Amino acid sequence: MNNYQPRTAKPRILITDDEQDIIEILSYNLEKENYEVFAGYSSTECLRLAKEVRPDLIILDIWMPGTDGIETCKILKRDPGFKNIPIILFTAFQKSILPEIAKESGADLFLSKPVRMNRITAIIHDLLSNTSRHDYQN
Amino acid sequence: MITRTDFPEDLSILLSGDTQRIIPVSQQFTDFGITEIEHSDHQHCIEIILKQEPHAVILFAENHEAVLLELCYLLRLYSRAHQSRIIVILSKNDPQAELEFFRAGADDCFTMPDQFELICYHVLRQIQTGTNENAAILHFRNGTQSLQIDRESYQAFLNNIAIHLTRKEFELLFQMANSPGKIFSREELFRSVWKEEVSPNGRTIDVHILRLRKKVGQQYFSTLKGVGYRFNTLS
Repeated sequence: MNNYQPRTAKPRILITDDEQDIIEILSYNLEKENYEVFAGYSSTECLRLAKEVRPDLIILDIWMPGTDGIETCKILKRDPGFKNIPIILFTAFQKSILPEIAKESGADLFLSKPVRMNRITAIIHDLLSNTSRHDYQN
Repeated sequence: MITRTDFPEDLSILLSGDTQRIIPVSQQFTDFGITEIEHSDHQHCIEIILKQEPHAVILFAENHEAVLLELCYLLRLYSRAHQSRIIVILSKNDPQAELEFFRAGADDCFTMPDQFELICYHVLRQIQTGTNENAAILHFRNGTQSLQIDRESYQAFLNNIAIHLTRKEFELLFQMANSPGKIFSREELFRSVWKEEVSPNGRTIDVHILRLRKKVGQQYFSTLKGVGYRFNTLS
């Protein structure tokens, strides 16, 4: 898990989850896959880090105290600086996410917890391949 | 007194969680005369609420693990349109868990390991309060005296004569009358009516209750020393 600066060639992933375990598992595995990983534990931290580190992809947990993942995702997708950054929302109830809620959130993907690492790395790879890393505005 | 006739005929309740905890509570609702009772595990709870729109969902929780908080949050999100009450029952006392479930959108959360009848009445009271919350007009009658509180026009009528109330007096009255019998702390009333955490002089609620007593009637308001205030139904 990184604590910032200067930008390397590695793609940057920002993970936000209020569960320490999830962050640790994801960070460990994604760093092994040669991603630069940043972690936040709340929506506020996610929004601050998103501006600071300009991630290439964001992973959000759907339920966080305070502002939840869906609302955080909406805030990011409304911001021209982040609207093209892929966002994955983690949920324990993937099959129960209503299409209208998914659409309203603007998230690129809903993924079920517990996370299978080989699946998530494949998905992240695909999502990043389809996105220009410098789509966002400064 | 709570009786079956206080509730709609089609009153429906969804109980979600471990079967062993659900069954005895479900039996209490059946004994009360409720026929539309569904059981579910947590994983399928959302599907049922979407299909059947129950009046209340009761989640039996052992702890406040993230998956249950997410379930509570999604139930709140999905039931906004039809206003199901979401009630969480914990198996052991855990104030942190209660707080987390309230944050996730629960209408009520309490600990009652095996007080099945008490759980049943607690839930029924919560449903009753929820039903009242949706009402635009509250009516109270005491013999020949009547009190009517109309949220839409922000007016209250005593024996069909309009009472002059300030906006805050009206909001305070409506808040309390919406849950008759419930004891409100000063802090709770201040937060819900003034939308602030702390009263600047600490006497705001007392002063407003005093005015309401004069305008609406002494008998409607009880003071519980050191606790707060209660709105009394007289009939």
